[in-house]
Amino acid sequence: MADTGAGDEQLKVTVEFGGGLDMFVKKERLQMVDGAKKAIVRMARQTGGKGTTIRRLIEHIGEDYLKASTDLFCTGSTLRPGILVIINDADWEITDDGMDKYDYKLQDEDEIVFVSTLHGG
Amino acid sequence: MRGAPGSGAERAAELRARLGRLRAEELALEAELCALEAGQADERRSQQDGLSRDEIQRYSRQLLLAEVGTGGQVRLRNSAVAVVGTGGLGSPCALYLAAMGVGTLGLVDHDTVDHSNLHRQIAHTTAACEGAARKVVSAHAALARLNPQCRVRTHDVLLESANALEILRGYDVVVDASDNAATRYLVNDACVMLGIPLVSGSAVRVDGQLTVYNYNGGPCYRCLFPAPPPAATVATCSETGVLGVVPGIIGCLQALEVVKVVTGRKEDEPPSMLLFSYKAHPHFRSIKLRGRVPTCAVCGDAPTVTGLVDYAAFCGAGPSDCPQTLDVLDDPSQRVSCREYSAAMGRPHLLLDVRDEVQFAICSLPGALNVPLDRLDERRAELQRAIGALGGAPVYVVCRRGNDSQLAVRYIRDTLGYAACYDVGRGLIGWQAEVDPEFPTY
Repeated sequence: MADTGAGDEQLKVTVEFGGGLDMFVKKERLQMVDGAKKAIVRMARQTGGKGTTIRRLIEHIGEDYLKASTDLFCTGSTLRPGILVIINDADWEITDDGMDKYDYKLQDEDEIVFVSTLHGG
Repeated sequence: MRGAPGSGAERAAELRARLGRLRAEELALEAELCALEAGQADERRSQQDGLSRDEIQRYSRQLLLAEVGTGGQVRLRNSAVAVVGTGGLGSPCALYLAAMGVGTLGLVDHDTVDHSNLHRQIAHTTAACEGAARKVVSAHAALARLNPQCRVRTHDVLLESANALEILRGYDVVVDASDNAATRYLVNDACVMLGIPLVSGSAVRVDGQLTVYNYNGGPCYRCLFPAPPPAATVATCSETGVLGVVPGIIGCLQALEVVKVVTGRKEDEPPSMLLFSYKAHPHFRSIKLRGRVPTCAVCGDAPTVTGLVDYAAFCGAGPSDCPQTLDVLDDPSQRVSCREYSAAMGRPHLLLDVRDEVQFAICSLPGALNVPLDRLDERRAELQRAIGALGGAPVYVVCRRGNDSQLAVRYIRDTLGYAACYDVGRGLIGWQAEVDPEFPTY
């Protein structure tokens, strides 16, 4: 099956969970690639409104891919404090244009990393 | 081989205690001598803008580098760097900083050296453990052995709101090598208030992170993490483990960043965070970070945090990497002590151990059934069969510290409806303390 993205019904992004977040994810439910380190996530492409936002991706992960305690990752579409979102190797707040960061519109082939800040040493 | 019953063991214990005291004294003497010698070295030191013959010889391989050179080496020698935490990150970081010629190192730690730290805290020694040495004293001795030219100031106190500004004031760079969220926010806020760049590292399990905060228009820790994580989600080395070399890798990189900041070689770099993972290939990933956030509570344009606050309250957990003690069973009759369980062991019962499989494999009590807490529901049928076969005899639940076991007791009583279920208070840690001193703890 071709995964060209554009024009498809589904949007395809790569998602990675770092800083120990991978322990909360049901890997068996995800399509893992790259030595089971990354997951391919496909979502229905929203054409109207704000498009397919990262808010929707977070909800989607919370609903379908987490083990029992989802609040270790998010509450609804709000990430728990201490999780950094990296979109294509940059902090998701790097372009501070006043836009709600949760409204970031996902693009095909985007690489999203959720990483939990670490405190130990 | 044995002498009179018990006498050999007693003598051994006596000798061990005496050796411990002597080793502690040795460390203290060594540290005192180092301090004296460092003072003398100070007096012999050449002019502030040049290097002595000894310095040129010692740092020659570094002086050859365009990245350092004589100018950079003088800057290192004239700099003062505070390292908060002399553990897994602070050990290698402080050792390298001293070796590379940082003139003054401040060590802040309030802890004693422990055997369970030695796999990563490489400034300390087995002997220091046996003498229950203070970490700053033990680290001071290690630094002095490595480079007597380094002046070491030890701060053998818990860094807190009341003393942080006073302790950190005057340092050119602060290294956050601590092990808990409360101290990280405290150190960040103090650095913002004092205008000191903060080289922050962290490591847990097989992952590490590195960022330079409050530097050159970049963000502070609070810009990135304005709200602290819920205490229950914070993984600590003592609870979840850490591979020894991982904080070593991050601590070495912290030393590198200190060198770059002190020698003025970092000014052109945009803010970034380095992520390390054992699992990733390549092991490192660098991400671009936002700049200083104008609305930040501490470094923003209109800060709301203008003095140090109560960080234990802010984070919901104190400045320690030890987990909190849970108290979810409100009825004390649902709990037995380790001693009481020890007395009940001979009668029919089921001992349920709810730690994960990895921990269960380290050590366990005889006859225990291992079902990890997060799999109780999944393995419900198996549990119900085991309970059904008891004929009304009690179920005792044990874990490492007596936290998870309480949640399991609640599950068995409320969800499975079996009332003869009891928590073994204080868990296996308690078992060693109250019943069997030979039982391992980890």
